[in-house]
Amino acid sequence: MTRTLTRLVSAMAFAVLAAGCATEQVRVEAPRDTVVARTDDFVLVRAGAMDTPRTLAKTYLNDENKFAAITEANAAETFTPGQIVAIPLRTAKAWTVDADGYQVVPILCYHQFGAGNRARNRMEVSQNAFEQQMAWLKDNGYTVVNLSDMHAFLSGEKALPEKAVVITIDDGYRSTYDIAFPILKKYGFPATVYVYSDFVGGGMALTWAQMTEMEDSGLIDVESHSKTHTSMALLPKETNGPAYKERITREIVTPDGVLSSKLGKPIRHFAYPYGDTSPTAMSILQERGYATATTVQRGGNPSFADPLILRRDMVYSDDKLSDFQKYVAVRVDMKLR
Amino acid sequence: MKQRLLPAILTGLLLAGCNTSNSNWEPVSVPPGNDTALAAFVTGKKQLAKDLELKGRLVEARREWRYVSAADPKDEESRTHIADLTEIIDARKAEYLKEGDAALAKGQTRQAQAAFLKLLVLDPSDEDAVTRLRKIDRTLALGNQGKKDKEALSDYRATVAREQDTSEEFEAQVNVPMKKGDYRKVIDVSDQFLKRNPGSKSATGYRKSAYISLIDESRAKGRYREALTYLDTVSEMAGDDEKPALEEKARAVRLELAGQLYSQGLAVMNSNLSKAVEQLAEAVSLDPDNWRYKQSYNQAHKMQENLGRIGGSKPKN
Repeated sequence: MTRTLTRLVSAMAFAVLAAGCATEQVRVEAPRDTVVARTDDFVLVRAGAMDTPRTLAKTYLNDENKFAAITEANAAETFTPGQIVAIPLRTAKAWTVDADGYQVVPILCYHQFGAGNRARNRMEVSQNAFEQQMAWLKDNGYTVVNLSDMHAFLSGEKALPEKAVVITIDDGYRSTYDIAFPILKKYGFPATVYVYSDFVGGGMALTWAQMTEMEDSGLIDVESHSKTHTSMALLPKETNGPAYKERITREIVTPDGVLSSKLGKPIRHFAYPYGDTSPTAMSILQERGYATATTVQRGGNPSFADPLILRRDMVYSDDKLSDFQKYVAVRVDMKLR
Repeated sequence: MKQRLLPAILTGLLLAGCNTSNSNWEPVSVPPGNDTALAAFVTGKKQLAKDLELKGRLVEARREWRYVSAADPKDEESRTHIADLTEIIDARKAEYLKEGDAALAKGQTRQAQAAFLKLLVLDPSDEDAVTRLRKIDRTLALGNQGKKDKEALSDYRATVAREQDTSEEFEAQVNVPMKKGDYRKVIDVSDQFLKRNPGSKSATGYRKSAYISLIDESRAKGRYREALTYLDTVSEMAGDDEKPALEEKARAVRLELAGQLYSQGLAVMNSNLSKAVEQLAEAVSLDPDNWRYKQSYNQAHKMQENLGRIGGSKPKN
């Protein structure tokens, strides 16, 4: 009985498939993919008629957004039915280091902006210069990423475009809203605005309403720049004891609470005032779950940089475009094989 | 077994000669020779693995050989390559790690970094390399704290100091009125300075102190509403750690204002009943737990209602 049934099924399958070959008109139900082999590291499947890297990622990696691992492993973005497809089960870390060197991501650091061509001091970049710099980034194929992308890059979780750059603006001057924000919107560039909480609402500082509006645009991420903008390093008469730790804790914890309650989001990024840090400050930030912290040491950041002591390039009012171009170098060349 | 394989073999054969149709099939587990898709996969992966070996990308080459081996477990070539590559990779990794650690021990961070980078190029999944590279990066960054762009930072400090800390001219302008108790003048001078130097902590501090002094002055003079207005201004400037004390102060001023309104309400009860009701109502709203205020307000309110009913007119003012 079983033998007869098997023969019957075989014959039917043969007939159906042969008919399909002859006419190419017969449409059968799309078959599912089938597993050919499986190890702890990968699975080999035979693609079904409807399978794409996304459907396979959803089935085997539980997340269709992980499809890039499948396209990469097979050097293909589409599959023909029946094709054998390799699906890596462990996502490889993206450290962006190769035999000729490694990628670095520059982080630009601005402070104030002056209307038109005005630049009253080195820290105040004129509106026209800022516009020129942003236009240059756009025209030269740079992708401006935010600090969350940067954190994923530093964790090896996400590869960034070859020409990736981060924009940050320190202190929370009102000119960030009046001058920089419209330009950033024009180019669709995200930026992080680091504010120190004691400054908010005073004089020419940003107001909460302005910060909320910028946050709501989806482009601006407001993060912490301490409470009072005092150095986080040991001060000349200070010793590395409980009083110092208390001071640093206050400088980190107070703005964390104020900013998160006013802006309704967790604060995850920190900029050290004057770029000064210490192991104590880094350790407190780590304990409090901060993702990144930035200094003002010049240079780009490789994927293996310590996320709590990232380099930044300050942009000055007297910088020429050629200076700016040096700040946004994206690669360190080095023979590594 | 034969019976189960039969449909699959038939399907495989048909698929081999039928590339374009949306044909149906069963799961297969047949040697690559009889399965063109599997054979194509194996051939392609073998070629890729050999190319990667030639380029020195050994870990990636080994991965491709592993695909081959899984697709065709009987393939000897893949097994040999996997074994050979594993031996080479492990030896090189150990060598780079040793070289890097030795350099690190001598304080030669750049050499150590190069060795660990080579290790990471060889095996992008090597966590030891990443951990060591990160440690080096942290050490270099912390060590370079004093070697930052000195000119820039000096400018930065000067700018911040100029804008946020102090100015001799400002100090001179603000000290005298502060000592004389001319707090409005202090606020005026500070506001002017803050317009030019938005981040000035010194000016913000003087401004805040002046407002706090005005609060005390207004309280002393019984001008509680004014004191509350100043308190609102100070609260906007205050940090979170100062807020509880300010809220406490505001509560005290509200109670003082309530007491004042109560007294004023009682004083005008006979001469201006509607004014008395208004003042007592506000006293109750400021100090809802005070039973005397409530009692007096209720009495006054009742009187007002009774007068309205009797005379049909409002009480005489």
